[in-house]
Amino acid sequence: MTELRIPAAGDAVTEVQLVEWTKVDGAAVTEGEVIYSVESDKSVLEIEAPTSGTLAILAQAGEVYEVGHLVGRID
Amino acid sequence: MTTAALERTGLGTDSLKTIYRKVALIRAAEQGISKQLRGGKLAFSFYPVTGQELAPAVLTERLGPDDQMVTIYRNMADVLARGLPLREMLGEFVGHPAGVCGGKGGGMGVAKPELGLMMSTGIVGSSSTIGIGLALASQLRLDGKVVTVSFGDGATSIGSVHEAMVFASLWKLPIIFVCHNNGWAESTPLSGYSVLEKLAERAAGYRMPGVTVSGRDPHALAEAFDAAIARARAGEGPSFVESITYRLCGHYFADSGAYMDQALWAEEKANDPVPALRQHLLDEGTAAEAELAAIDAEVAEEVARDIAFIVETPVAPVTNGAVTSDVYQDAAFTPIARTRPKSDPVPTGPMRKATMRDAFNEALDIAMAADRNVIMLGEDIADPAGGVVGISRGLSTKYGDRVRSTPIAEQGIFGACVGAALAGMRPVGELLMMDFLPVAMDAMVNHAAKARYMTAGRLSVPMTMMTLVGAGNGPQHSQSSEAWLMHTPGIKVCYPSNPADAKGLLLSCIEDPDPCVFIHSMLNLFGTAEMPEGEYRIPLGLAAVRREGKDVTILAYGPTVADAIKAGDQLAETGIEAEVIDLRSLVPLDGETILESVGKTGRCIVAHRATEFLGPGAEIAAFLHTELFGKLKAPVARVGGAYAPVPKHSGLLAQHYRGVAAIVQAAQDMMK
Repeated sequence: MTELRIPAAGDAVTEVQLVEWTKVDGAAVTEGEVIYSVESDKSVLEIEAPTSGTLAILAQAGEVYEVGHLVGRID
Repeated sequence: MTTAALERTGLGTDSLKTIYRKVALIRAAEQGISKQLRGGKLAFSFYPVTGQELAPAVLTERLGPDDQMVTIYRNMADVLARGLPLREMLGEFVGHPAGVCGGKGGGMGVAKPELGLMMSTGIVGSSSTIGIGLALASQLRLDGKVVTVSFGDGATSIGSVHEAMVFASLWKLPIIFVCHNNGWAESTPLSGYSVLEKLAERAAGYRMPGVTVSGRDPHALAEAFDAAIARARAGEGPSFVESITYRLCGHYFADSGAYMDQALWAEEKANDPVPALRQHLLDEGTAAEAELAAIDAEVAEEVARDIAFIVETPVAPVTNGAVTSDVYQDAAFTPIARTRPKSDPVPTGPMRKATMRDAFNEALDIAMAADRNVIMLGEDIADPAGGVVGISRGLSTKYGDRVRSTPIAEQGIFGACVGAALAGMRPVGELLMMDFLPVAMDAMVNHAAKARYMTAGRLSVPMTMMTLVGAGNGPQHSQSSEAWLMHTPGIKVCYPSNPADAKGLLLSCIEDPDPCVFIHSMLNLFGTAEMPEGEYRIPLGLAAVRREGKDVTILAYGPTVADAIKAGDQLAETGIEAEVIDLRSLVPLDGETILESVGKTGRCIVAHRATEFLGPGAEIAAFLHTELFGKLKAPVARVGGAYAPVPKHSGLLAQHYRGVAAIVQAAQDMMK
């Protein structure tokens, strides 16, 4: 099981908006493919799956989360 | 590979495989780190190097083990190629104690002198002026070291790079300027800041070879670096090598590059130089697929192991005192010392009448005769000029090119002092007027003051800046800026008032393990006073009682000491006995002597020409109110410069700093 946590999109960034999930809950994802994106004051950052497996989404798109917040898992 | 290419560059099969391994490691490390950042396991400012791995790999393959490198913040390719373990690099990047510098410096503080990695800097361009100092040390010591400074295309706009090129070509220094032209200065394209497409053309203005090569071609890179290294080793001087690449990543991790031409970017990504190199080696028969696959696997294992170590090793709680260790060599250093240093007595034997200028000249002569590492840099300092105010008269005649007149380029002078000091020399730089300090401030504040801390004590900068405060020379030639320096942890500051102290303090500064700024005033420079003959030292942090008294303490330094003594004489006529203390040293301050005196008198006036607001007197007043609250008979008074630039007009100047009369008035007010 690999946790998905909100990455720091820069030193001064403490929270970001989870813009969208590009994969649905329960989808099979492959390491390296984009699964969600976040937006901070500077830019939109696409987040790739750190590993292959089944995606479990634990946080809603459109909401603002603190860096480090658990937003999903890949099992 | 063709035989012709081999003969031309000497880049043999083993070299190419070594280069491939370095490139593969850099790429794998970058991908591994990015993955951790995306997964939220690591969080730090990461500056990737995608697309520009090859030039550092080739450069480090061609350099010798004793050669030295200075890099900027986008240093990952340089330091890994030079052999810094990934664990030590990544640890430093994230501020982990396993980092090469204990996590104090971060990604901009990666240095390991044993590998010749002498400094990384977050101030782009300053790597060049520091490199000048390292190259100067190499030249003076005849040790054959070649110094490379690497920087991006954006840095070629900065003055310090140009100042460094002026010094390098003038003195034929053994240095190579390595410009990684990736097409982008942060988010501005090359065409947005330069009329030149090939930045190596800038070298022509300094009469040094400037070559532009493809950053994808190992043979072209090797040929360019080999020529530059050979030229440097032969004493023929500097070269500029520009490696053309394309930044396949954002400026920093999380920079999506929305401002970049997406079609061009995609095209460049499809033309990635790392797989291209791999294919090239296969096509040329340099290596078999199995060999490269073995390298890839080995590198992947190393990356996985080192990243896991940093991600999984918990950071131990910090120990008391760690935050202020490595600021100075003395871990217990405090800017206001509670214990004054023990001192050998200043000789009381033969004396002679001397000016402060004579004192400086003699101290420099003593220091240069005793230690070949003592060198002097500054504008006009060599004979026959011997310095604008004559401090270095005769020294270049006696010590040759250890005393060098420089171009009018304070970033270059003091960057060179920092670099030479990193190499273990003891440079003395003359900043003619203190008003030029802002020009030299990057070298002093960002590099001299921070090098020991950023490298957790791996490196130190035992340099001395000498600087003159003018008098009556108007707003840009009369300013007293000692408080800026005192506010900068890592620097020591002194400001003597007479020739005897000037000689003893300057010797202490030159021999000190930390960077020192030695300030003196035009008002004190040419007056004569008795000065002991011969050699002696006055330690930093030791004040001197100039006049004893029981009613009020006057703290002064530099030119205000004479004012305080005059005020003391006038006050004596009215029955007030003032004690005058010449601080001499501002960082560290002699807290013991200050507390002894004010503890006795219960009253204190601090006199300086520097701006009163947030000047040294403000800190001293806070110190006294904290330490002697309840024992003071009056609030601490300050006599300092008005909150205005120093005017030329003599009537206004007399109001700016009101001197003896204001000190007398303050004392009388306190005694009411």
